[in-house]
Amino acid sequence: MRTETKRMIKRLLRNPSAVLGFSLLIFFTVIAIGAPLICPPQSYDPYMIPIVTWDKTPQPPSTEHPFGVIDGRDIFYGVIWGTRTAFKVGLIVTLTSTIIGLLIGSVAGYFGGWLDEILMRITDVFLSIPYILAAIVVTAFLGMGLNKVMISLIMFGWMATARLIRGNILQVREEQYVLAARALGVNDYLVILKHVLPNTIFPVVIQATMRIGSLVITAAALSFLGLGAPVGYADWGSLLNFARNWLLGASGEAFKYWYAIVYPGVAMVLFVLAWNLVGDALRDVFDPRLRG
Amino acid sequence: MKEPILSVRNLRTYFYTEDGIVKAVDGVDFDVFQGETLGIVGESGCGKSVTSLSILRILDEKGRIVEGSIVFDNVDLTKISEESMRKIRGKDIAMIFQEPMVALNPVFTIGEQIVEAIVLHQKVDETTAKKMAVDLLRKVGIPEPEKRVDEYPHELSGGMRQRAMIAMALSCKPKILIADEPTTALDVTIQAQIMELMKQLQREYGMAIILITHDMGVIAENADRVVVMYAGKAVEYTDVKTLFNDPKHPYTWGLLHAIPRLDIEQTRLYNIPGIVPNPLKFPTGCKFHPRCEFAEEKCKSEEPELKEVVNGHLVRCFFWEKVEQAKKKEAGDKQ
Amino acid sequence: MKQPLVRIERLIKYFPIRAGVFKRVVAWVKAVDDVSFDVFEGETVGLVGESGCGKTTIGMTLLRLYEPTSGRIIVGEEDTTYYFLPTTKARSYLKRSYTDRFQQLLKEKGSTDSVIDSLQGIDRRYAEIFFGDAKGSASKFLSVMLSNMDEKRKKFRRDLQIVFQDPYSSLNPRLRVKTIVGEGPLTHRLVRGDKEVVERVKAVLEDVGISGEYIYRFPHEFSGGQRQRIGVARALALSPKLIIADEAVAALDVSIRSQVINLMKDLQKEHKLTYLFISHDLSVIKYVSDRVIVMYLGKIVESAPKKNLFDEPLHPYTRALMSAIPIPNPNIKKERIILKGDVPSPINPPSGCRFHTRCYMAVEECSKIEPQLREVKPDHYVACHLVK
Repeated sequence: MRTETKRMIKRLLRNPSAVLGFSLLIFFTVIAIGAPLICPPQSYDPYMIPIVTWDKTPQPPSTEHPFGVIDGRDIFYGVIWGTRTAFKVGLIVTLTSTIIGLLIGSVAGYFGGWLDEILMRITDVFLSIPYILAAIVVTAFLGMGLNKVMISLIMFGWMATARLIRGNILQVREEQYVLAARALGVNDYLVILKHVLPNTIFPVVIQATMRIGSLVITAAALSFLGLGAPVGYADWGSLLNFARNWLLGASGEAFKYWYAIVYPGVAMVLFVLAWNLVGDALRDVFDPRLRG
Repeated sequence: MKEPILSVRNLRTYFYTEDGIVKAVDGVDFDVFQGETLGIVGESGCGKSVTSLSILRILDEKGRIVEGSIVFDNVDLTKISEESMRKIRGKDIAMIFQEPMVALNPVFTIGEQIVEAIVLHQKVDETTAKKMAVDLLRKVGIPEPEKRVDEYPHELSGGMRQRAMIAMALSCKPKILIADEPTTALDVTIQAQIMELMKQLQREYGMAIILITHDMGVIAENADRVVVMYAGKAVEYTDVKTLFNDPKHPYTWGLLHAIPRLDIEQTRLYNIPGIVPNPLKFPTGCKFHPRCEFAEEKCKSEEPELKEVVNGHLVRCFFWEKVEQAKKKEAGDKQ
Repeated sequence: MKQPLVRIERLIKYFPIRAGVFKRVVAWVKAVDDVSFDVFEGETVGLVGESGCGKTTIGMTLLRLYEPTSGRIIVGEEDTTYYFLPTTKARSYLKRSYTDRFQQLLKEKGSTDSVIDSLQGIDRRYAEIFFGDAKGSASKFLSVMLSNMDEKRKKFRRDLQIVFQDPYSSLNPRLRVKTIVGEGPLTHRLVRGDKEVVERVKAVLEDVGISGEYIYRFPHEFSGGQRQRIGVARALALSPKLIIADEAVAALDVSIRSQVINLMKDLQKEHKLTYLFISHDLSVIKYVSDRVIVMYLGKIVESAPKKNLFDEPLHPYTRALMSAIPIPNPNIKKERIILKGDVPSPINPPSGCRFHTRCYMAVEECSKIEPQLREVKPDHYVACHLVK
């Protein structure tokens, strides 16, 4: 196995986009962890962006506010602490919805029969509702707030995983080592845990990795629509929401308020890119068809 | 003496992979005569399939013929351009594979694929080609060829697909047909049908067949001459009767005693110890020495040549006489 | 009379083919259709036939990796058919097969003794329990039969093991050899603690010719033949009575195949094993078996001790199969029987004798009346109208 691991790492290092992805991810992680050092919180809730001025007009970057000010709030602070929000939303939603999908998919796939039939029909129903629309309706129903957004994203985020894991299990279930384990008298749950899941989990991990990035975009879209985080919360989507009124710039100066869009926007794009590149790299490493 | 239509000399095909150089074929010699069947027999990884792919030059991008010659019709196939090679492929030398489902394109009908092969090499229009396709299917024993010609590969059974593959390969009346494990994926009774068909077509077309297989029985019943391969090298080459009655290489001798047989009573199968070597780590010296019961010090360091030891019987072994003694002992035991 | 280790009685296994929105059953694949045979302790029974003949399904059903559609699977002195059924199904099976029948018999015969006397083997044993300990009460009988189910299942799993065909897919690629081979003994608490597992695994591995040093390696670090040995070791680790070898050597290279066959023969002597050897290869079957069963499309067509079968094959299919095997001897020019056409689909098997569509001897009767398996010579059973 050691040689195998070495080969994997070698393979990863040889791939420039994988290196870029992992570097970006490490960069964001450092920022998220170091947020209190980079921007010391100034109120009880560190996630609330401190108000630096009551003037609502955006102010361009300055030494004091390196990314400028929007709606009276420091964009730099918002982008830095927003990294934490992005990780929080991405990881919690992905983790929870993946676990739900795993449970539903593996039960359906391993036991089959009518249980599979019912679970898969439920999955179909959930899949038939457009994701964003469903999230909007549920968030509106539950009330505003980041937690509510996360709940609605979890509710409508598990189906792809369930389908993927079910398909994989149907395949692995017929593998001879699974039959052999059953013939040894190993009980069903242990067979799933020890023999089926470890051999089906990697595509799910890859899929989940890629989803973390896109979830942040969805969450941002909801914030942009005013359904997400409360006003002033350190969240890239909310920052963009502030910028909405200033998108057109001033007369004769279309790009006057560029900083209001560019900083949170770039942060978001790089974040999504990082997860996608990492997902791609994991696929290269784990997909046996690509293994030489 | 008869002139061979294909002669392979000292063929070496290497693959340059991430993990190192794979010497898939590393010294193979044989001649193919018109109307005869040459058998290539060996275990997995011995290079028998790569040998056939080298003849047609359809290796993947990592593989290269690094040495040797393949002379067909006085032309060395290793030297000619890709374009001239394309004219030979399918027309003069055709090939059928172990798994016809992989070799046939699933989105075209059997007829379309045969017509394509015909039109590619012959100056006929599509209607004539289609008629020829139906005739070919009839010839390979497919019932209701007029109907089958419009069916897709998945609609045929395994045996019928292999027949369709043969029809396609025969469409341009090739001089040589390479059959790579043509019956391995089939049931025994279907295998018998296909081998019978190939023999009958060979008589009719007078073509030469290169039959690649791991099955000594298939070789004994169908080949005229045999190359035994081990670890990329031809280790023994002679006519079929001599090979089975009087094997001289320890590997061939061992193999013949290791297979369960219907024709004789066996109390215990001969054990060739060890494993089939990994092409990345072939042993030094004679490639068979770690598994050979006759091996001596010399075999570990020196590589034997493929030499003619008796008239027309080539063996790659320093100590082939030891096999003779083993055979005498065996004959003595029986009495 | 010798008591069989395993007795299969009128085994039927149909697989449903479902289609449409409601997954209605539109047809059945008749994989195994009314098959009975015995396997005695210490012998090797060869089960041979071409693809689709149901030989693999028999192995899987015997192990209850598939539930049989009907029929009885008796292991030793126990009917094991209901072992892996949900309780309600198990109850109805036992009622149907035993209590209802015994009560019916009691009505006909009048006395319990005469009922018991009229029965044999396992039926007699269960009738004794029913009329004895259970005092003729169905519910008492059921509770006796359904007690200690966990123990019964475990014993069944220990006694019957399987070795699969594919040396690549039969070992979990993510587990070390120690875990793979040790899983059985751990599950059955034959060993406790890491030290005992290691000891046990090492011992079994050395039994199959693999050095005990390798227990921490992963399957991909071994060659095909070695992996197959590990598969044998996994089965052996439970000290089973019967090993089902499902095409256990089919995927191996010729020189490796003989090693594994020899190994399995040696292990049989050493551990007094019984084998059910499933293969499509008559030459292998001839070498390993004591008794041979030939199957075609879900039915047994011929069954006999090896010598009788190979010296004098009686069923036309067996003869065709034998003649189709290429012999590695160019001096023999044998008469070859080439069968017409393909094996028909087990969804719609031919009427009468299932082989009649390809048979070179078939007469009109063959397409109408299904031949029964009958003893035409001592111990030699054939299902064919034309064999006298």
